[in-house]
Amino acid sequence: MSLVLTDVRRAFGGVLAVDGVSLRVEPGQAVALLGPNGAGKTSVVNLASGAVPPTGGRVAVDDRDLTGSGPRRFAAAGVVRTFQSLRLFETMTAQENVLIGAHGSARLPLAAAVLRTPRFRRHERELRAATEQALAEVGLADRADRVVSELSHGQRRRVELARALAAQPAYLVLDEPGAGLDPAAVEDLAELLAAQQERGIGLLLVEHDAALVERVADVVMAIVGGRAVATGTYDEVHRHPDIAAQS
Amino acid sequence: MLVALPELRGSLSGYGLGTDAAYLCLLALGLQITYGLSGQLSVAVAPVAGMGAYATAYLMTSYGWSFWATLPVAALASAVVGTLVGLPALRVRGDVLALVTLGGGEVLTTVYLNTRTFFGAYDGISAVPPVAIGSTILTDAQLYGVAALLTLLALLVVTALARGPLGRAWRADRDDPTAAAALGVSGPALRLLSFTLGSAVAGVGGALFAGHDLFVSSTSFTLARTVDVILVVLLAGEGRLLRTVFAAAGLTVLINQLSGFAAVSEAVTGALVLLVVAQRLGAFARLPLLRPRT
Repeated sequence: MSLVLTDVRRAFGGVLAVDGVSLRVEPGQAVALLGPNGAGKTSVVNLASGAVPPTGGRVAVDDRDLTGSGPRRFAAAGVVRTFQSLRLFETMTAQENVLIGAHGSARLPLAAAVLRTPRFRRHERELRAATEQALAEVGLADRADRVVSELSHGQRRRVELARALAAQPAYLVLDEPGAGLDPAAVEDLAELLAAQQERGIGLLLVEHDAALVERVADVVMAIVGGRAVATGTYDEVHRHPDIAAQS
Repeated sequence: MLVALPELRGSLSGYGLGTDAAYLCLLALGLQITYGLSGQLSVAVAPVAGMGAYATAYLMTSYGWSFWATLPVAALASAVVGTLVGLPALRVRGDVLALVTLGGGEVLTTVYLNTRTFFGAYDGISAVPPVAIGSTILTDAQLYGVAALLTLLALLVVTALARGPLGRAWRADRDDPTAAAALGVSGPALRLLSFTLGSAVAGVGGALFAGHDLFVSSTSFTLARTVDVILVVLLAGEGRLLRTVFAAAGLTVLINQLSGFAAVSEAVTGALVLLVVAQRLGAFARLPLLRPRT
């Protein structure tokens, strides 16, 4: 049971963005990717969540080979991601955004939805309860009915996180979840991520904030030029010459 | 407003005008699903609704079906051709898809014009029996009542869809397909479904058209008619369902007032489209009432 990338490669035109990276995220474990801009960290995240297919290597989720599958298959297998550049449903409220996470892959009973059968309404109530819980967890219970385009950057980050949590992921793939957050918000985020680990959710994150990585990550992997140049604890990896030179 | 409509006068008068408004409204409510909720502009609305009109006219004239029995068939017939027109939505979206649907609509029109069985080619299908309950033919007022009822029913169904999980998934896919897919939302299938369901609603409108005009030919389902429908949706606002009813009624009255001047009428609707788009882009931002909604 784990999210496993085996010797994955990804070329864009003639450029090899990811060049033979292997990593494993166990349930309840946090793996962080460090590295300079353009090192290929986001490409690894895209490969791990099915956003782009690898040009070589394998991606497997809980022993199922999902190499070449699209993001929907990954979501169905329990891999849910967030985006470096926030991608919210801008015309929808915070609650509606999180509801999409809650029932994204659920089958939609068309006639039941039109006729609003008792079973449908019960299902909707359950989804809304799960949504409210996810929003409360990120501290946005009082912003549920606000259209997300009206929220602050920090609040929008939290909506995206709540949306991913509502999908009840087995693995959470986070692309710079701390970007643009003030220290207090990063502290809250670290606590929230630690709580997810305790629940047994595996985390794969790209993050520049050293404090966040140090607190959350069990395994840190340094990526430079599309290759994993060092793997270990934060203390071991951040002294690596290629990484130390960046900071 | 639907009650007041029959009081207005034009080339169409009284209840006929109201029934015409209901027809336009049904087409627009269908487009609200495809475009307003799912974000995929179909430029084949009128020819797709036309399939429903042909189905009703054909079954009533050739097989003596009652108008009521043809309604589900008309919805189904339009849903089938609407789905075919929308098939490219599985691969493309946005502007390209709109262009492809324009082509699909033209193909439909060509088929209607050149096929004698079912469509009567250039002659169309005339002498459609009037709508009746048993052997009693409905008066104009009664037919208008039926039209208003069908519109209300469509409004309720589309509202239920919009507020439910399907409506949310459509809007999520419209706002950000990448993020929606990452959460397991099946974008392409949803987009195609919006064509199917939107076309079914338009097909009911087509049936109403056949029952009202008693003559069905492809000249009634032109690109100009499609532009009217798009204009109604733009005037109302995407996904604004109740306002769609008022916009459809208003535009029907306007077109009816201009009906003596066919060329002018199309120029006016065309100009209205330009004005609405200009308003959306903020061309009249200095005027408080015309500021674009954020």
